Amino acid sequence: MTNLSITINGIEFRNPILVASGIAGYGTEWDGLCDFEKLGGVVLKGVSREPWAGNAPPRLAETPSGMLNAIGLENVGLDAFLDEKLPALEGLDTVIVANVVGRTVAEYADVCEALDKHDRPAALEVNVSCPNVESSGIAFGTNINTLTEVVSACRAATGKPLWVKLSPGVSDIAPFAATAVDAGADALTVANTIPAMAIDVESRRPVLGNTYGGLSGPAVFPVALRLVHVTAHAVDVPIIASGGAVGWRDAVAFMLTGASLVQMGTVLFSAPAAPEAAVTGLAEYAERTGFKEVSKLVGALINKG
Amino acid sequence: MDPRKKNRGLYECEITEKRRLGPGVFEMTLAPFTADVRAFQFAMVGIPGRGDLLLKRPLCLFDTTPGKEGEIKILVKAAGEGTKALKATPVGTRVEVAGPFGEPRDIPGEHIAVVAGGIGVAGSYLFAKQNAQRISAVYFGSTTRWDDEIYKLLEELGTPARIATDDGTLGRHGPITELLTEADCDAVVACGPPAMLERVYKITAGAGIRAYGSFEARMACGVGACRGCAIPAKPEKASGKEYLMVCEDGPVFAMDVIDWERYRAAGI
Repeated sequence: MTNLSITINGIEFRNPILVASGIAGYGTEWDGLCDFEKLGGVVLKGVSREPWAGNAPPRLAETPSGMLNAIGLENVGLDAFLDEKLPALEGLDTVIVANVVGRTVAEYADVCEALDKHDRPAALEVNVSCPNVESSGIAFGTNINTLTEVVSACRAATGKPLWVKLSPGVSDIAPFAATAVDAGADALTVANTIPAMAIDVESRRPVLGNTYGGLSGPAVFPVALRLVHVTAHAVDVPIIASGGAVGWRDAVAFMLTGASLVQMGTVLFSAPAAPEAAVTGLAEYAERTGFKEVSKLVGALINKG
Repeated sequence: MDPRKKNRGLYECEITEKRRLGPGVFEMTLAPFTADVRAFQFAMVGIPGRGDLLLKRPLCLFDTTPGKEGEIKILVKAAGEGTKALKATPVGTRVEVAGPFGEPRDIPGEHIAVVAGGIGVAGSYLFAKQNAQRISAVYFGSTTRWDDEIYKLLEELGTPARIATDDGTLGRHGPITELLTEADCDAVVACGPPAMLERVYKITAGAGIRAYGSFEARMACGVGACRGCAIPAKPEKASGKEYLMVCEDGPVFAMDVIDWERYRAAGI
């Protein structure tokens, strides 16, 4: 019997498969369709200090083997998150990770501080791909200085394990990974959706109300795999892979390149049962290849020459 | 668990029947599907054999037979890549279906006019069937004449059917909403393209009649998680919300809740 559990930052996950932020909602939306108790954990929808209404529609566009979203991080805000959303998960037996978004460094820090006082989130994942309103809307995570500022501020605001979800829209992710770790990240989520767009040539207009969106789904998997590989060579903290995984084979590849945990997201839209199937497939793979503990798969890639 | 969520599920259905009902429009029967379905609820239907088309399609339920031997019927208009692929999918193919989704909504009224535009006849038909005692008439408009079968189905509802076509090939020549101005009703429920919904809103608002519309939007999850299917709303009439979600708050909304200007600008 293979041991599927993975422990990072002192948190034990029953297996390495998580549902990614933005797809998992607040943890109850998929009731009856996707059983989070069979998974390692769930990363909840990003929460901001005040409620965010989100972007003008259309917010979604399907692209070959992928999709674009420009939801605009619509969320209920910190108060409703603490008063309504977290309590609704009381009986849910899985690891809960909260995801933090903000428009200013102070907003990020305030949310981290408030979540720090709550028992339930085992860790905080910080989405640094939000536009920085104090710096012409450039995403925090695409500038070394603003990345340092936001991660340092979050670090100071919480004693919980701090995961930083890096932006893929940079020329080299390695210095950003090192910067996040130096500023206090306990683990890195690699990565986020890839900046992209779609155009309706008949109307000659962008498809998305926001013009730009983020690409996700199996189309981005090879990109994410490389980013995990590069990051694993750059830092010593655990890595949580996120980007286009649809099944056990992708999860194994992510783990071999150095990821301790694997988030699945967009695949829930095509197959809500996919994460559970990935757990089964992962166990079978480990059994077949002689790995008694799946944790031993982490970084077990045989590199070329 | 929220009791409404207990009714929904994930089904590995077989396409047991397909038949043409109009130009580019076909009816598809999927089984097994055991859940109870209310009018204007929808199912998320996967596109078999097309791994490049990730998203399930939200398709309005046209008819339902709940229970152990249950099935659903949906109407599909081959308009985009996914619906064209469904049209080409043969009977006997297995399809992943999730649902039913959408908030079942009670429409108050004793003489309700049901207005259907094109493929919007799916939900409208089921509503008229499930509320037969309270229907004043069913209004069905399309760009051109559909097959006889659809008009026969409407006749069989036992409520008056009023027909219009944009090209005059059947019934009144022009938009179906022109017939609505003569309606004797205390409420209207409409399902059809955005421009038709807005015309219904204007006519009913002018006449002081309560109107409800069943809305569509691009959607990824169907369950309220992705926040993709946003419809602009008037915050003062929508508990302060700037957007309502078709899947979670709808798909049926009171028409006066919609911010029509922002909705039109979005070009959904």
